[in-house]
Parts: sequence; structure tokens; C-alpha cells
Amino acid sequence: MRYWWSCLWLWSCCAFGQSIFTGKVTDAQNTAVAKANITLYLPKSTAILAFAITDKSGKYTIAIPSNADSLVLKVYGLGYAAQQRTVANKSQEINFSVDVQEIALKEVVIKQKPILRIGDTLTYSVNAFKNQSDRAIGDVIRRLPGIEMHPNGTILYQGKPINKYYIEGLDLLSGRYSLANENLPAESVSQVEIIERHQPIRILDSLVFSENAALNIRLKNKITATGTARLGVGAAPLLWDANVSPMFFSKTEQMIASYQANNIGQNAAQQVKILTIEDVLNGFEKNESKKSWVGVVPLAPPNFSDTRWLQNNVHLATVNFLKKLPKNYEMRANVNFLNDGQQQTGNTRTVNYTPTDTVLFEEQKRNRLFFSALDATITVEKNTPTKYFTNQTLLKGQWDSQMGALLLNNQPVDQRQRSPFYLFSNHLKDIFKIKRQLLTFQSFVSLQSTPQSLVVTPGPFVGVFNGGRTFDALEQQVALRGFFTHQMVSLNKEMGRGFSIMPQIGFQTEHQRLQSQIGRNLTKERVGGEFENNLSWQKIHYYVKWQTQYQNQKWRVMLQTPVHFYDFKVQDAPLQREENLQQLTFEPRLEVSYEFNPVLKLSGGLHRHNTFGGIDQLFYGYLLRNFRTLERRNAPLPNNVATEQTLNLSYQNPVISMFGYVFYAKSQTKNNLLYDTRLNANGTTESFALASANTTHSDMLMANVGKYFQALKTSINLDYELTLSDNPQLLNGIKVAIKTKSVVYGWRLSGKISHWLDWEYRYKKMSFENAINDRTNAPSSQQTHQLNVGVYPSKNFYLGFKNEFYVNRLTEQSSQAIFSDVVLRYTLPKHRIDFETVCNNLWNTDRLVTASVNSFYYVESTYQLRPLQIIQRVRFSF
Amino acid sequence: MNTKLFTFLALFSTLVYGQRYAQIDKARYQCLYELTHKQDTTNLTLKESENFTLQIGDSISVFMSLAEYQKDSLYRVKNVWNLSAGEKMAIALNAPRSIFEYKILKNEQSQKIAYHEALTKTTYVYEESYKILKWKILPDTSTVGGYKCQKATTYLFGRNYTAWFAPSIPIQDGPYKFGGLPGMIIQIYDSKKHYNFMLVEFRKLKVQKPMFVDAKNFTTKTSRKQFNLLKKRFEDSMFQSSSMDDNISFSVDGTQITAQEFERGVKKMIKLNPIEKN
Repeated sequence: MRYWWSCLWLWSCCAFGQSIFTGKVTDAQNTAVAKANITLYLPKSTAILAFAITDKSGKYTIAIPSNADSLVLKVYGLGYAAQQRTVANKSQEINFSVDVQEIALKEVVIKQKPILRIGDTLTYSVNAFKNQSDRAIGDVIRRLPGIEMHPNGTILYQGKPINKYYIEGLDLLSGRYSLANENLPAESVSQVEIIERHQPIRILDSLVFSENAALNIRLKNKITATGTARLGVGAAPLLWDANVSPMFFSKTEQMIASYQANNIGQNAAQQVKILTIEDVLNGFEKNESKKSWVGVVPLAPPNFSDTRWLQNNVHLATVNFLKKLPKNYEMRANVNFLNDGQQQTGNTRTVNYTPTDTVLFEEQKRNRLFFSALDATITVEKNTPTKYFTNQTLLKGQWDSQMGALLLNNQPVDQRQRSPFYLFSNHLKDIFKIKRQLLTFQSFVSLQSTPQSLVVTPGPFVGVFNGGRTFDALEQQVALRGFFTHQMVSLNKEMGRGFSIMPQIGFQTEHQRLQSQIGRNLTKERVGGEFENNLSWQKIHYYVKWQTQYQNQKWRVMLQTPVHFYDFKVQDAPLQREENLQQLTFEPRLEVSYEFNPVLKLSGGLHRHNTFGGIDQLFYGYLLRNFRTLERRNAPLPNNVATEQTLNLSYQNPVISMFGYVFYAKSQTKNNLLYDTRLNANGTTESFALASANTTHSDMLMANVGKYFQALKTSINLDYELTLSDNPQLLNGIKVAIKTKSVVYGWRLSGKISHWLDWEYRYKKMSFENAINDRTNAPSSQQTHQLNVGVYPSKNFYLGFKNEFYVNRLTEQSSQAIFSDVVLRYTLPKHRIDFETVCNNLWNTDRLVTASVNSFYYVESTYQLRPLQIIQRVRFSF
Repeated sequence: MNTKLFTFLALFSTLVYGQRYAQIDKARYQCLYELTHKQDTTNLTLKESENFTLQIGDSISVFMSLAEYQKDSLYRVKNVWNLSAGEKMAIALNAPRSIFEYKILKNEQSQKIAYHEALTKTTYVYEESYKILKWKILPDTSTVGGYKCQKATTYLFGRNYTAWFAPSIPIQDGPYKFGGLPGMIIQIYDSKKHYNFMLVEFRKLKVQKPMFVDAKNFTTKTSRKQFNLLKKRFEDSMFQSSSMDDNISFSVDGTQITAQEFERGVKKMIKLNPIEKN
């Protein structure tokens, strides 16, 4: 090729300046012919030497890059017969007169090749995106353009969480996708597909709009058996981190199993956490989670990464199995077992503010928490374009217990709690299509039981239980059983012109039974009387909802006009207490949004709703909640009416890389009860609830602005949040007004200095003030600085530095804490084995002081952290 | 079909979408090009391909991705711009999409190439002269795609291209901004073969098809330099906005990695390989 270039160049050099042809092309009527091709050939050659195209006036100029004696000049164009003339190689004018002739052009149609983006499906080839250091498929997925991953494992596509994680089109894990994402070896996967705007319920496809995408894993082989393994050891004390995860996939069956164990502070339970927003079940009925009626006095964990403070010893085993059944049905079974022993050590200093006094007490705590949970979910599903059916059955057992050793003002207190929990639930959902309308039927049934107990040694509340004399022990036993049902039918109809309506009727029931008793000393001698509960609780709820929605290019208006009827029957026969409440409520909601232009949007809402208390807010006998809280709710059923107003202005301008919003919310709640907490001289508290109408107010303002500076490769993000609240409360029988103000602000700067160095700095300040009856208490604040630096000296090495600095200004003391971590990773490029050395908490910061402030108390806790530790890890896949 | 009703409907629909779209010319010929391209310079084994259409009218030709063309027609037929957001979404849901969202209009009369591309809701337009292309004809001939072709070379914004054109189709057009050769460009590729356009279909239309672009009210005039700056900022901010979340660390296979380490990985992958390098 290069030869031809130079040849041509020489040729044109010596040829230039020799001759130029000019001329005009006209047709038979002598009108100029534009766009005609004039080409020059050597005689008997078919290769064009030079060319020109006639302009609007039909004129052309062509330089002759040849010194041949004669040349061939050809004129041709669309709609004209071609003409050619042999001319001498000298500058001259050559005019053509062409004849009109329709020329037949040769048409071709070549078979198309398959393309990688088809409609809404984006296919990423794993081999193309995989790096040598990638092990699990998640390592590849996090790097795919348009995809990001949160610290908890949630996958986002274009900033929105995915709604399904399929493997070969099957939803094996029902949202617990971290398990596959972090353990499925990347080399078993051929492609990762993103299905944009995916509606998981196929009957709703193109009828109900979905903004979220789904992810699908395509395997290299249709039948695959694979897995990963990891082993890490460290010091001090002896640390371990192990993971073995085998898997099997075929066309009709899929299985993922995993066993994981560690004591390095990694929360293995994250891997079996449901990460998708289950729109199938969401908004209808959720399984009631376990309510703890009794417990050891907790130690609030610090609000940063759990690897800093979690003293754990966790074992996780999980088996997930899917099988395709005839007639498009499929069956899934997900079974998880988790066993964890955690330890919390620290001190707490509690200051209680009262209108007249402040009470202080100090505690040294050593809590041991044991968690054991086994859950099994069995799902049968049919998901076709004409029919949707799902039935999900859940069985769950939890065998949790807590042990607390505490020194209260140097007096030892021993607490032992057991709180097993058993749950059965069944959820059925069925959708039919009747012409263009959809009829949805849902049914939910749940049954649960939680027999709990707490033993405190020596016996607390000596004045209440033993006439002021000390005694050995006090045992609280509580048992709650519940039965819940909910049935609902709704119809979805498009009315055209942007209007749609959705009528809905539903029926919900709740039957619960609470039994409790307190036993004195080791003989469990029953105290009886007002220290026992024998409560039966029945709630029946009917509703008729009508939702109207209107949408056009600028406006979106949604109006809900539901009417609810509630019927409560609560009775404690031995205590001769009961409450019956029937109420008809109207709880309208209006939401309006208006788009000024693509960057500026204003939205607002108005909502009125009634809330009624649950069984944990209405019991007539005393309960020992923890060793220093004796509580009863001997009052009417909480019945609150809240009115909320919100206003949100958002600005998004991607062209100048600037984003921001201002959000304001105001709410007013009318309550029928006031709660009182009585403080005793020995530090114990008693809670009561009294009937007394009152109103609480709260105001919240949030603002956020972010900008990216292209030239500096730096982004800045600023945050501000102000909360004001005003709520009356009873303190030792006196009605007080408590006003609180909290301000949070912070910023984040991040940038890249070069391809081997990047940095990030974050700052956050939280400050809190409160006032009781206009008497202001001393303000407190917490500041956090974070500086992270990443260095990449070569392809197989990564060196990371992570620094955190905390400054706490508390009412009576200030404290500081600093943490630094170093990570060094080396990858053996050929054998796909990683060696990683992690050194956490370089300065061996062993304690953290934090403060949490409530409207009437202030708690300052010192938490014992994980000390300096070094872990060496090896990872590979099979 | 009732002809009166048909005429009425045709007239009515022109009126309605006449607001958003303007008819520019009628296509006489239709070409289909297949582009094989490498979007990611760090992974040159990854080849993607996509189909493009070139509609040739009497004085104007329009070049755009097939997906974009299909989406445009769908939106026009369904009159999307006058529908409610919900209905619009339902249509957009099933519309084909492409990563190449531009339209390139070549106008014989004004000898101008107009580049149209929408960023957010505004369509930006910039014009260039036909003179940005300087062709060198080479003597090589070969049969490409069933046509007898001759070779020519040119340079455009950072890449050297080789084109094979067919004098037997005397239309001076081709894919992308390429044209002005004495015959249709059948194949054109850059020296690194990162972009390769190949003609897979050439047809004369039995019925001339009207061609539409966004009406003037919906477009903003700019220059190529300004547009590229805007687009760069737009892409950066898209990336930036998605990473503006308050994440501290990420756990990969049980290993904590920093947000920057994560972003670095992402950025490395997004390193695009645009057709115009400067």
C-alpha cells in the first residue's frame, strides 16, 4: 500500500501543472446539469484517475495527474445516459450535452448479521469486560458501563435499582442476589444482559409502566457445575474467614448452596438479604417482624462500617433450588440457616432531663447476643402474558437469646433473655385480563408466636416487688400469638385522555393474644395482679378506595379518596379492662407535580391519615421491658390524625453537570395520649400513658446541590438538613413542651490527580439542641472527616489508604477518634489466585465515644471497637 | 379504503405532527449500512454492530441508525408528542433504541452537512461544509458487496479512512459524513478498523417516502466544537450523577474496596472510542 501512495504522490507531482480540463454539462434543452460525475481514465483502463462533480451551473474543473498522450473523459449521473470521449492531454474546455435516460441501478440485499443491542435488551460480553483480577461475576458487573453497585450489594442500572436478577431467565434467588453475584465465578458466564424497563409480571407488560431494569446472567454452558472458595486467617486474636459456594445450573433445574463462616466482623447475613423491591408483594402486606417485648439494656453500635466494631462469630448456610414444572409453572425453594454470636462491650452514661432536675447514672455493659434463624420459602409461580399466579409460603423459626452483664453505679446486674419467634405466612396473588382491564386478587394469611422471657438478678424495683428489701431475681414471661388476614380485589381501567381509575376494596383482620406474668426469686413465685396481662386483641378493617389519576406532558395529578372502617375490640378479663372502638375515617391524598422544563420540576402533596396504635401500645398490666423499665400502657387506644404537606423543587441540569433539590415538609399530628416516663431514684423508670389531647408539630427542610468540574476532574456535593419539632410530653406527671432542633450539614469532594492516584474527602457535622419549657440544654455536636486515597503502582498491585477522623463535642466532654486502614492486593495473573493483606485500625483505636440525644434524655456511650488486626487472604474459584 | 377518509387522515396527521416534525424531502433510494465498531479501546476484542439507514432524496439525504429511524417513525405514527406521559412511556417502552442517536443530513444545494443530535430534550444542530473531506483516488479496484469498486482515501477528525465506491451507482453519497465521490460508497473503514461501515442493502423505492427531521422550534444551532464540549459534559455528568451517592465503601467478594477504586474501574470501562477523535 505504502508503495502505491509514494508512487501516486510522485506521479501527481510531476503531473500537476500540466493540464486542466474545464467544461460544462448541459442537457438537450441546454439547461445546466448539476451533480454529474466527470471521471478521467487512461485509455483501456477501468480505474478512475481523477474526478469532478458539476456544480449548480453544470461546470466542472479537473486537474490531470498523468502525462499520457490521450485520456478518456466520462460523464455519468442519475437520470442521464453515460457519455465518454477520448481527448488529448492538454488544458482545454470540454463540454458535454447529455441525454435523459432512466438508468437501472443494481440493487442488493445482503443478509443481516445479528446485532448485540436488540430493542430494550443490552448484551454485555463477559469476556470483553473481564479483567484478570475478576473472580465473581459481581466484579465484572460492577464495572459494566451504566451499572453501579451499592455497599450493601444492590445493583443499579442508570441510577435505579434492578427489579430482578435472573440466571438464564429464571429467578432462583428471589432478590437475594448477592449470593450469586459474589460467588458465581465470572469464567462460567458468557454474557450479562440488561433488560431495560422490565415489568416482571408479564401480563402487566406495556400496561403498567416499570422504570427499573432487570439483569440476566447467561452461562457459557447450558449445564454448569461451578463455585468459589476463599480462606483467610489473621491475628490477633485468631481470626478466620471462610467461604465455600457450590452451584449447579441446567435448563430445568438450578441450585446455589453456600457455607460461610468468619469472625472478622463481616456480616454474612448480607448475602441472603432481599435486595429487590418486590413490587409483587410490596404495598399490600408485609410479614410482621419479631417484636422484642423484653431485652437486655442495649449498647448502641457506632454508625459506621460494621467491620470496625462487630465482634462476631457467624456461620451461614443456604440452599436455593428451582425446578420448572409442566404448564409453565415453576417451583422455588430457598432455605437459609444463620448462626451468629456477637459481643458488645462498653460504657453508657445517661443523663435524664426533667423540668426540675437532671438525673445521671453510669453503666458498664458486656452484652452477648446469640442469633439462630432458619427460614424456608416455597414459591409456585406462573408468569405468562395472559395469566399471572403466584403463591408464596414462608416458614421461619428464630431462636435468639441475649446475656447482659452490667455494672450500674458499680452494682452488678445480670440479665438473661430468650426470645424465640415462629412464623408461618402465605401470600397469593392472581391477575386476570378482562378485555383491556385488569382484575387483581390478593390474599394474605399469617400466623405467629413469640414466647419470650427475661430474668434479672438481683431483683430490680425492690420498692415495687419486695417492700424495699433486696431479693434474688425477677423473671418476666411474655407470650404473643397472632393471626392476620388480608383480602383485596382491585380493577385497573384506562379512561383515555390521560385519565385512569383504580377502584379497590379490601378486608383485613387481626387477632392477637398477649399473656405475661412476673415471677419473683428463683422459685418463680407469681406476683399476679396488675403485673400480669391476659389481653385479647381484635381488629377488623374494611376499606373502599377510589384512585383517579391524570397525566399529560407537564402535569401529573393523583387523587386518592379512600374510606376506611375500623373496629377494635380489646379486652383483659382478669384486670376487668376493655376497649371497643368503631371508627369511620376518610383519608384523602392529593399529589401534584409540574414540570416547568426538562431541568426544573416542582411537586407537592397533601395527605391526611389516621393511625391507630398496635398491641405494643395498649396493655393494662405492667411489663418488665428491661431491668430498669417497667411499663404499662393503661390508656385508651392511641388514635392519631396526621396532616402532612410536602413541597419539593428539583433541578437537574446534566449539560452543566449540576444537580440540586430543596425539600420542605410540614406535619401536624393530633394525638389523644401523652406518655409519661417516671424516673426513680435508683435509676429505674416506669412508663405510663395518659389520655390527654395534644398536638405535635414538625418542620423539615432539606437541600442538596452537586456539581462536577470537568477541568479539575473534581466533584463537589453539599448537603443541609434542618429539623424542628415541638411536642408536649409528661415528665414525672408534669406536662412540658419539648422543642428540639437538629442541623446536619456536610460536603463531599472527590477527584483524580492522575491515572495512578485518586482521592476523596468527606465532611459531616451534626448538631443537636433541645429545650424543655424554654429552658435550653447545652447543645452537642458530632463531626466526621474521611479521607481516602488509592494508589495503583502497577497492573497487579493495588494499595489503598482509608482514614476516618471523628470529633465529638458532647455536653460535658469532647473526644476524638482516628482510624486508618491499609490494603495491599497482589494478583497472580496466570493462576487467577489473589493474595491480599489487609491491616485494619492501624492506630489501634480501641474505643469510640458517641452521643445519642432524645427529647428527654441524653446518652453518651463508649463502645469497644475491633483492635488492630491483620488478615491474609487467598481466593480462587473452581 | 375510503379515499376521502384516507386523505382526511393523512392531512390531519400531517397537521398534528407537523408541530414537532418538519418534512424536508422525499426519499427515492434507501440504503442499509452495517457498522461494526469497537466502543472500548481497552477491550478491542469486543465488536459491536448496528444497522444504519441512508435515505436519499432529490437534494437531501438523511443518515441515521435503523433503531433511531424506527423509533422516529413509531413516534410519528403514534403521535407521541401529544400523548399523556403514561401512554408515551408505554410506547417508548417498546421502541427500539441505539447508542448512536444522531442524524446526518447532506444537502447538495447548500453543500452543507448538518449534524442533528438530541441531548436531554433539545436537539442540537451544527453544520459543516462538504469541503471537510479531501479525497485521494487510488488505482486499486475490487468487487465489494457485489459492486465493482474503486479505492479512495481521506482523513476526518483524527482517523484515516479507506473507502470503496461504486461508479455504477452514480450517487455521491455514503454513510456518516462521507460522500462526494463519483459513486456510492459501498464500504468505508478507518486505518485501525475501529469503525467499519458496509453497505448491505441498496434499493430504489417504488413509492417515494417523505423524510422528517425535528422542526426548527425544537432545535438549537451550535458549532461542532461547542456541541462536542456539551456532549462531553453531558456524558461526564451522567456518570457523575450516578456516582454522586453517599457511598463509603463497596464489598467485592468479601473484600472492601473504596468508592474511588470502584469509580476508577467504571471510568476505565466507559473510555469511549468515538468516531471523531478530535
